[in-house]
Amino acid sequence: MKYQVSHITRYQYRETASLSHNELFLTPRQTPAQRCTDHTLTLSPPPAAMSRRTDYFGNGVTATTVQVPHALFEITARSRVELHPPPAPVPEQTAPWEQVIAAVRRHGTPEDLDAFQYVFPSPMIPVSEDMARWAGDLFPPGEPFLRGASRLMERIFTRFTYDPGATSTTTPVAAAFELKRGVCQDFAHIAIACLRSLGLPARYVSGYLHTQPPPGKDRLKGAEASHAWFAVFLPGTGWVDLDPTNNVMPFDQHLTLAWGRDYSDVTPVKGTVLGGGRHQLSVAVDVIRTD
Amino acid sequence: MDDPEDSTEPVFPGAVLTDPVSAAAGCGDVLTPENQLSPHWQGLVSYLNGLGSPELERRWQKARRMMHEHGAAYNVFDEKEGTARQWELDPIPYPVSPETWALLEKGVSQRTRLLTAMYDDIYGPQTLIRNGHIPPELLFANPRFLRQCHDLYTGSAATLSFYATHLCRGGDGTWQVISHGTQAPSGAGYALENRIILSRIFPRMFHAGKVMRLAPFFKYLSHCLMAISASGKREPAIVMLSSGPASPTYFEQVFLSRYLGVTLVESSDLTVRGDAVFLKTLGGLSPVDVILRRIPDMSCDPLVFNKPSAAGIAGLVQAVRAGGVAVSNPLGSTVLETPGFVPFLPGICRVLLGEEMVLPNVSTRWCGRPEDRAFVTDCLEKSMAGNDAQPLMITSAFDTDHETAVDIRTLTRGEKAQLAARITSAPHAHVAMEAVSPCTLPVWEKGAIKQRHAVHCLFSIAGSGTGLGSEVSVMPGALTRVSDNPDIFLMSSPDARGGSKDTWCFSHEPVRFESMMHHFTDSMEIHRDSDLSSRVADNMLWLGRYVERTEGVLRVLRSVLNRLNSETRLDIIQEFPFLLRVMASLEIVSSPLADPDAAYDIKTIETELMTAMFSSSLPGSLRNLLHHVKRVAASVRDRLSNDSWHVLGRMELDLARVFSQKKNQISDAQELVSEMILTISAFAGLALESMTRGMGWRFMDMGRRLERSNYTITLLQSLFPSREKAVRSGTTSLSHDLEALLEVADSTITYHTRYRTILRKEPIVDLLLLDELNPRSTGFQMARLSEHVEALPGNTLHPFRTKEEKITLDLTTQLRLTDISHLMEMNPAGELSRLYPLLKRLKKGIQALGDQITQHYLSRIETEQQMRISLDKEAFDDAAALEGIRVKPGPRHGWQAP
Repeated sequence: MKYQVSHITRYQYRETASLSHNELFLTPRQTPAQRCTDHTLTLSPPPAAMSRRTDYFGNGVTATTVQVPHALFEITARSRVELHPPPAPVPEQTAPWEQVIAAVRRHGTPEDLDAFQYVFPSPMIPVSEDMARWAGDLFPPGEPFLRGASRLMERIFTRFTYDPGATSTTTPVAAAFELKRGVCQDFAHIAIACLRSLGLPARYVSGYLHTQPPPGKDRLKGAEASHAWFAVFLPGTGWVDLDPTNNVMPFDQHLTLAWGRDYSDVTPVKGTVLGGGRHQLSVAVDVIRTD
Repeated sequence: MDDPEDSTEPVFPGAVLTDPVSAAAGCGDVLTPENQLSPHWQGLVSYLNGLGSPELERRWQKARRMMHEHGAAYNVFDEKEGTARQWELDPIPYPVSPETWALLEKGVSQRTRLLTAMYDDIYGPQTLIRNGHIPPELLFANPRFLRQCHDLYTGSAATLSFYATHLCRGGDGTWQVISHGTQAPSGAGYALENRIILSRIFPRMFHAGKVMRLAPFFKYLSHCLMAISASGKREPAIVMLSSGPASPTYFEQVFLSRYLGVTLVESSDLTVRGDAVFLKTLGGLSPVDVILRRIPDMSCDPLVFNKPSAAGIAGLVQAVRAGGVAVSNPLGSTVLETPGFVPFLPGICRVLLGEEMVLPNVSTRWCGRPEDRAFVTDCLEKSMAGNDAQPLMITSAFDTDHETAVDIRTLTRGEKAQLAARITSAPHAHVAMEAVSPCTLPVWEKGAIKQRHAVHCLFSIAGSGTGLGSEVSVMPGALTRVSDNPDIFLMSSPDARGGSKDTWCFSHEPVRFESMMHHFTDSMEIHRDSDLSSRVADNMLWLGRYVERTEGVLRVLRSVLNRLNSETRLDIIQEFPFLLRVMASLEIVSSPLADPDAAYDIKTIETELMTAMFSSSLPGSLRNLLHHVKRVAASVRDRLSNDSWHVLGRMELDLARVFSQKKNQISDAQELVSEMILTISAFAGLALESMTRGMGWRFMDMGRRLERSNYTITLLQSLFPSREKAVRSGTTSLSHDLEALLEVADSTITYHTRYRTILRKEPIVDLLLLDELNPRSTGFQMARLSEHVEALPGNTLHPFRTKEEKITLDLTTQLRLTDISHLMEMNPAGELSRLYPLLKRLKKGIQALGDQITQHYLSRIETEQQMRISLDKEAFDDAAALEGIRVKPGPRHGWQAP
């Protein structure tokens, strides 16, 4: 499965901005299931400094500085990505959740040790007894972890309302949980909070989703936004993605940009600006299948 | 006892330590195996007893005065407390024997090497957690483990770490480490200040040459700061990044930056361009090579550490990563303070250094270990059951904040149960430390010896990388804190109360004298201060303005109060309307009061005057002006002489008196205002006179000149309020007005020495407007402003005149070309038709000049602060709320289901 992605982020300032530092998580990851064959990142106005490195979680991150006066700041990321998804694990056949907890606590392998860090609270995701109670019945003794996690995904999908007006990037998880409303970011955070409150490893994934237009209609160009979901760790197998916004286990339509403990680790575009006054932010994402 | 300095035998009446053995018995190694007082105590006891109590008390009072003059304080500028807490120094030092010092140096040095090695591993390969030497929870669940700092230093990057090690000594004499300060520890400056004071009051003790000196340690620190610069410059630009005047340790930051000869800056002074850091100065952007930071990791870079507040320097982490600047301590060092590491330090020491720990920690258990958790819960249960249990302090495994530490003995049953539940739900997040009672030391209190608990803070530096090797240096001394509360957490916390002691480490070898002037003498470059930061210049300008504005308000208040308190009825004091008009123009009384036909109701006037003085809601009130002076002065504390700072302290007291004034005490107010005129003149005089004639001085003086010329013009405008009034007022009324004008403008004596007693408006306007010899005249201010403007950076090489030069030239020329008799001619309608337009033009020109200076020098380098609109009183407060570096919210993950 081959895709071409364009992701344009545009800041329009009311007054002239003179200096802007940014950190961009816009480069698709290389994983066994995903190959990024081409990637370009273009800034307008052109940056005075730009450097790419790999962060603590293995994500590609670009740091840039723009220091010419500008009223419009545009970041264009274009990528070509191939997906080679391995067969999805059968939820019923995965290890009981208690064994998962024990394995990461024991952390006998480097993979288990790496997964252990996703058990603890993170800057945007606290753990709570409320969350543990809300999800607790999905994990009766001996429940295969992936089946419990899938049911959690389904529970969020059915009990929460997709409502972009209800929350913002800074809405605390507890508030979105109380509202039972939000967007993909909130749903992923809530799923992760529930799992971590039970002592289970879960991480946040930032990326894109390829969607089919409804029958008889053309694709709307740039109508998509970046997407987010969560992943759970199965010792011996690795990480398995779950998308609570769509109640699906991502297979060949989810493209991964970056992962971390929560949104704050992988915010696609963040920055500071000097001057500029009020700004307007717009994002246009296009995911086109090319094969 | 003619010369107490020569005495050595402790047999004098009034001996300080009559029973030295028991006085010092609380602190180990007092006695030799032969039951003699140890030599390091013996020398001190002989010396102090030789002085005798009265002499010690006298010298101690002298020390207190010196510290007050130095401004040594904690919380120099605490809005809430209103007054600073003076730094307390006990005159009896803590002597440390050569043997003990050898042990401490070895132990602290080892820990310094250990901590830097741990930093390298934690932010690098993480073998310690891979191999189980540090439980991964202690990093993964640790908010102080900053993943953004991972792999920050690669290759040969040089780093410099400055650590504090808090120790206490048990009753049996054994040393135990309480905690480490690893991100930006304070205290070394206070230790240095203590030493400076004690060496002045006990010079003989130091001349004997056995007490190790502190200077070589700071010399090494200075050397390391230069060596870690990546620029390869012979004299790298080094700054100390301060947390600002609001920080409780601001005094120390000012003191140390002066001692080390580095520039003291705040976050808003620095900016990142490309991958390099620059200081925003009047002369433009000036590169910075090394930052010695006194701010926490999380406040360093709002971009990377996800701080919405935007405090810090955006892009700093990237600049460090790219090698564009060196920051000490290395970013992320805070993780080394993690209390949860403590039980694992001996093991880590064996693995990383191949050594056994020299100094143990206070016994600490990490509840993430099943056996430790069992022990702690067992203690809690026993204690709940009312049985004797081991005294334990339970604290966060990640946070060193003393407030989170609880002594289980002080808890109620319910609180113990809650604590037990918290430990069970997140055992890895808790540690239990044995509650130890530190040994006591003798202190001098109210003329007698008392025993106080003591903890000691030792300082060390470790440089690594290019040109530094991996040499460790430990300061041969310590900051000893004493308190009657044996809580070691409280005493080792940065905002501990209680006293302090100088700590004397004795050497077997004679100590050579070394000073700090070392490299500053061998390659001295002349530093002019066009590298003054724009922020400081801006604050100096406003300091000058506020001081002058306050003085002006005080003068008119004094004149009014003098008349109110006289026996004459108000309605026959002919100059009273003039004075009210001046106050209305200064916007400190309401304008109806200045109406020509207003009836003079004494009650109304008194009420308005009280408002003008004490109101917090009236922007131009005396109280608010003094508040501005105090605030701006505090932000340039490091630029002001100690004397002027001292005078400012008096103004604070005046301010407090203003607050406490009961209503309607007009006569008290009169006295108060007279005193305050003296105080504020003294402050302005001392501040300006003791400053080098550099840019800081120029900006403060420009502020004064701008404000004073404006004040004089306001006075003249009030003298002739309206055309009709000028016609109506006969010479009798005018002469009273003129007398009052001279009084308010502080030019009475000048006038009368020149013109005797005849008061005429032409010579008075000449004196106040045109006369360039009268330091109160507008002409004088303009001449000074022209000089300043020409001397501003960048103006000398400029082929054309700058805009501000043109404005001053225009204003000066207008004044010089004015003929006084021509100016004062009345038109047929009896109006001063030439004077008014001139005054109006001058006022506008002065405003434009102020704006232009701000625009050109203070905002041209795109400072985070927006330009401040000159004469508008509100502008200053609003400026901070205007534009600055902002964190732009990123787009959220907002994919919508189709």
